[in-house]
Amino acid sequence: MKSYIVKIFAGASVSIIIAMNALNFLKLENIDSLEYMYIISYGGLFTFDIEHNIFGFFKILVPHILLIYLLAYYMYNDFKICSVYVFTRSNKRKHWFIKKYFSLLFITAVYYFVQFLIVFLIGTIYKFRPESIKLFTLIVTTDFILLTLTGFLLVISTNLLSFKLGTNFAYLSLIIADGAMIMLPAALHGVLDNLIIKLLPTSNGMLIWHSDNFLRLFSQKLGFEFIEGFSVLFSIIYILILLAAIFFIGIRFIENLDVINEEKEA
Amino acid sequence: MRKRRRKQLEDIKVTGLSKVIKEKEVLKDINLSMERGKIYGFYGRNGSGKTMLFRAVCGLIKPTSGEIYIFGKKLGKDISFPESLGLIIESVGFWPQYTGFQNLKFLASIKNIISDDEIKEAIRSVGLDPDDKKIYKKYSLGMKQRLGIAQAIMEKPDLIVLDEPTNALDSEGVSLVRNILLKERDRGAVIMIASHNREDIDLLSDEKYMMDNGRLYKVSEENAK
Repeated sequence: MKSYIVKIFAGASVSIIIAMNALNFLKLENIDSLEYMYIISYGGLFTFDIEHNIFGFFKILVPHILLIYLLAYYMYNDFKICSVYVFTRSNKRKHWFIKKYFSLLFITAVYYFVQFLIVFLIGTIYKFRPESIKLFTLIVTTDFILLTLTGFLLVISTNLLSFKLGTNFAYLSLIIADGAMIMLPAALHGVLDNLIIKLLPTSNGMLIWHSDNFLRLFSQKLGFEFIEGFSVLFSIIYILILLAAIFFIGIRFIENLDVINEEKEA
Repeated sequence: MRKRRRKQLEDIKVTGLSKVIKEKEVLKDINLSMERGKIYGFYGRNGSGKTMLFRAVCGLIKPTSGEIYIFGKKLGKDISFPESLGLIIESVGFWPQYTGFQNLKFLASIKNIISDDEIKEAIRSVGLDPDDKKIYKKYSLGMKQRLGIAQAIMEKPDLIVLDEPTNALDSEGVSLVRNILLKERDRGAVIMIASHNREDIDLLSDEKYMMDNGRLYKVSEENAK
């Protein structure tokens, strides 16, 4: 795990670019609030239509690509070692999976924590301050939780898919799916009362698309779109349900997985 | 005094074993019986199904059809894998950042039935130094193979399954492994070995089998000639 944490710190350079971009934008708007710094950096896409927001699209996608790239092999590499010598000494496949599941969640949380820390440091260096400690805590906490959960969803899906499709194919598939889910809201906006948008996992990671009261102030000031009736609580519960489903499916999958080296034995 | 006749039961029994992977039948109706205190040699070209058979006996793959009994217990029903097993399956490694001893100590801690001294004895028996600080990543192929064998025998298992045990070994290593296998056989283990090296099979095996295209054929002395 230590080597993964080191890689995450190394990969945090993308957050410097994101934070500096946010800084430049806010300086032009004469805003020096840390809440806005986080909203711009990691709050999500300002508009559903990415055609006019290509940088915003990549600002969402690139951290996902990096996260999945860093962690796509996490389970598979260890399974290759453990699957023969460990699992034939005790029936520990379930315990192994549970341990890996939660340590992946932890590493994903560290990934976003490091990026949030960098935003904080850059903002503080340029004398940005919280407008309200309560609001600042609310913004940072909810954004962190949403990004960690949606990021973990991508990572755990990639890891499980890699057993079936191979790590490279699983990685590419998830990145393409992620990109598609970011672009789809442009076409689906208004359809079925935005229900499909709410059910797309990536949408649930876009803090500013939520209609909670504490976010409306930012919407008015910055003019970004949100979805009425799309609460942060709904997103957290929804993603947790998806993760719970993957958890139980993953246990069953790992317990019944044939241990073969397909490269040599297929 | 009347001597009780002891009924000879197969210790390992494979009946009608078949396995299909990606629509290809890699094991076809395998029937096999094995007893304690014998070495069973398996040979055949690459892709003939030897490793698949070994994986099935070890519980690493689930048969499409057929049954496997390990010392009276049905694999996949009574047990998920043989309860007393030592194995080497090709292309499997250890944790690269730890020494040989550390790797084996971790594995031994799972069942916790042997001491550090017994781990070290197993490492010494394959010609390695248990106090060597070199990490596994820096091992030569021969050293890796020796450590794998040490891992397979250290807990004195009842069933030993070795896929290509003499790969990457020099003549001294090959001789060492052969002696180890004979000793384990005399201890009463059931030993399955697969090898491209026909000499290994001929020298060591009490019974020989050939695998071809997923099917198993017993090799008699007449056929072998």
